[in-house]
Amino acid sequence: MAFAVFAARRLASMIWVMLFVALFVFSLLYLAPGDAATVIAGEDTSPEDVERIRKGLGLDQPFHQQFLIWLGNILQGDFGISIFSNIPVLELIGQRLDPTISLTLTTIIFSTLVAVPFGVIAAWRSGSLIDRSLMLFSAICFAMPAFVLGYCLILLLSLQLDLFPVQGFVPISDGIGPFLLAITLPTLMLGTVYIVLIARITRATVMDVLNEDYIRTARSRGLSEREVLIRHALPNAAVPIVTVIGLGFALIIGGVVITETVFNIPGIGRLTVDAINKRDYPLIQGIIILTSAVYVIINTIIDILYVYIDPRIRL
Amino acid sequence: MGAAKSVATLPDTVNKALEVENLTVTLPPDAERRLAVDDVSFSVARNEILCLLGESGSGKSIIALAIMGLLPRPVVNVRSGRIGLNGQDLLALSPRRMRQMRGQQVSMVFQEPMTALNPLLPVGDQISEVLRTHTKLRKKERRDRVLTLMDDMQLPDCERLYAAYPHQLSGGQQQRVMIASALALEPALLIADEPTTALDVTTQARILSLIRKVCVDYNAAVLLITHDVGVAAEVGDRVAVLRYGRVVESGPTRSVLESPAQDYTRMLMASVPRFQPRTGNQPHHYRLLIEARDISKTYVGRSLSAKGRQVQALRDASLQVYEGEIVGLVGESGCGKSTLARIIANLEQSDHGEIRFRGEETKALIARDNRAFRKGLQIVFQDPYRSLNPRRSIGQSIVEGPLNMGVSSQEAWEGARAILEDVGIDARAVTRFPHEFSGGQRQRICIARALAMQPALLIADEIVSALDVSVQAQILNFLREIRDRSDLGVLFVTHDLRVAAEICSRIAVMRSGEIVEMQETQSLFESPQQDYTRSLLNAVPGKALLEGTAIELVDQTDRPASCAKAD
Repeated sequence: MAFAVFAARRLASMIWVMLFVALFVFSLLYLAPGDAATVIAGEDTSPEDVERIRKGLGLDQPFHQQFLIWLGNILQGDFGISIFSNIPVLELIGQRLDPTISLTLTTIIFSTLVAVPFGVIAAWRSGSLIDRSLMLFSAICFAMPAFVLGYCLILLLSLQLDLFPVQGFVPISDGIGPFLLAITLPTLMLGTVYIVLIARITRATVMDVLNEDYIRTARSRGLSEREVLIRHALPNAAVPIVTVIGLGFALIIGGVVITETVFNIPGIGRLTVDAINKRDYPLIQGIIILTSAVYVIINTIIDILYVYIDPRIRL
Repeated sequence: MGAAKSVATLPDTVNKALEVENLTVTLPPDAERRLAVDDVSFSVARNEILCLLGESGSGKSIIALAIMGLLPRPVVNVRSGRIGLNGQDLLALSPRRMRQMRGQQVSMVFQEPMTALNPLLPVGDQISEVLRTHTKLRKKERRDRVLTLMDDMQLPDCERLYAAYPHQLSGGQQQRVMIASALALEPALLIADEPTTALDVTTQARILSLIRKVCVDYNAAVLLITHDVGVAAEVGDRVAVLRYGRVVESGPTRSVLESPAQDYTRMLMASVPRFQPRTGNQPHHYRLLIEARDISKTYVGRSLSAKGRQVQALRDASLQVYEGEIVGLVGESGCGKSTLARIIANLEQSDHGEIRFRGEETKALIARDNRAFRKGLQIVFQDPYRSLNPRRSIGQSIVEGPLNMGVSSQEAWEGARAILEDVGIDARAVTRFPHEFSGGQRQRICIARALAMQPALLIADEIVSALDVSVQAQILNFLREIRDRSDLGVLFVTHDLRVAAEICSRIAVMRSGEIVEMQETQSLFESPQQDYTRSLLNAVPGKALLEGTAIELVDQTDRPASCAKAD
């Protein structure tokens, strides 16, 4: 019951954040240089025609009225129509959603599965070979631009060894085998930085936790080191780790542009770049609102997870 | 109790459960000394409690960890010796075999029950863990066994408590859970490392009697580590006094503590606050310095859910401090004593009531002349390790206040040197940094910092609680000296009645935000008016023994500087 109240409260605060985002996005367009009516009308139109178009678009209304109309449309699923392709924004985004969602999920799952055990073992045996190799690996990965890594992977694993396709995306509906084959290299490229990030945070927090009294208590009960780590250390280190994984989702949406370009994947990242290059404002708005919604939802999920992880965090 | 029973529960002194022989443990090369434990031997029988008594750094906890096989290797290592448990040499066991012994044959209870329990697991599961690791019991059987154990530890409402998390339990309950988990498999040896140090005095008394009881009920040998002579006197069958990693002397508790053979033990006993009010604590001035009248304070907890929890920290608390007297403010943790001190110091605001400093309402005084108020009232805090800025030399810390008050730099530094000499620290040390000093020296520096402002009132918030008894005795002596040669009034906040009895002319006893009783120290001890005060007095450990030895030792407490130079 208390949990339901807490979740409802969190959802309510989500709405506030999204409203704020909507206001911000709308002001962006409102304040943007250039006049949509002039753009739509084209070069050789009379001022009267431009004025008519402006009225037709509701652009002569005061700011708050324009905002409310715009917000109403969005709530009904009408994000407007792309200026350049003349296709509804929502439809355009929908077409590009699958590759990006797939890549984001495979990257997060893959990095978490590799990074957390790696970090835990590095913390447990700090100063050991495995710990020092993590540190070296992380220095290299942070220093190397992602696209360099991507091309190296293509060169080695696709061109030389012929293990994976060079480019492209296969939706999961076309079979799990081809899907995995196509998405492996992009995942490796995008995931490396997150592996390093998550592993280092895991290492640091688990190292702190291993100094706690209850770890000594667990050892004094004769538990094996594996149990000490999995049952006592890792759950207590979970809050920062989960935070970083959540942040990872947000960061990946930025990183996905380069990966999608390198591997020629038709995802949101490339759609964003195209939209910005062409100043396709309705499309940019739509993308910002949808990605912010994703951030906010992930943040809320993380907040709810905290309560689940740690009973001391009050509802 | 029948005669047969008492015979059955006598310590089995022939077949010792634990035998430590010539144990030597090395420290890393950069440590203060080479050996943490130097050629230590002792033994404990089943049904017997041996107290390892020593001040901080005596090596007592290292011995416990060595027995458990949990030394922080490779930094600290056993160099030689033998640790026999039921005839088996623990040091010769493989790590795997040693792990099987832990929890099963030898187990441990730690100082801070709050941090010794995993905050994310229900306490029942944490006790059950021992059974899961070492036995093949099924889930249901484990649960039943855990409930029986919890019941044995006199925990209330065990079914419900099983699923509770550590933070939902009181300190005493947490420690009972720890003891239950340690005794789950009826080990031959139970090590309790300062098991009651973090607890309130009444809780301490109950936990000590529980340890006493389970030692017999579970037929265990108990090694109890403590810095507190009172605790050793209360529960120890025998005691071994440790210093610098060596056993100074050992034997039956009474004979060691009542007629110590060694100088160190004598010094230790002399430092222990007697359980009797000392004479000569009466104030020598009668001008009212500060008066708190009907102070109330309620905290409203903020949580994500709308209704905040309300905690009434103070209810109409009133007290006065006169010039030249030390007033004790005594109570258990959470009773509101620190809140009252902070409100008097204007570090927090009260909801109701007023504070008058030399007759003037403090709020008005502060509005008129904030500096005069700040200068007139100084605070010293509990933890000397955290109350000095590590990046400033102690001189810089001391002159900061006077400089802010407009004293010239030269004057302030001269004052700093003089005040350091006053507190027994070489004036040439002004340029040194806090980490170069011991805990006791740091606390004296903190006091010097406060006194450099020449305050009228000093608020001392648990200032000796983190210190060893010998150091504690020096600080108390020093406070007495300042009081005797000045008009300084001191509000001495402490949880320890023994300490308050040493220096206070009057004592206010607090409970749940209320001052339940305020009396002259002498009459408070002789005829406490409140049940709560009586229960506090009765809970003091080792009372009988300390009262018995009070007279012969009083003189030595006043030994001047000879032991003041020791720390």
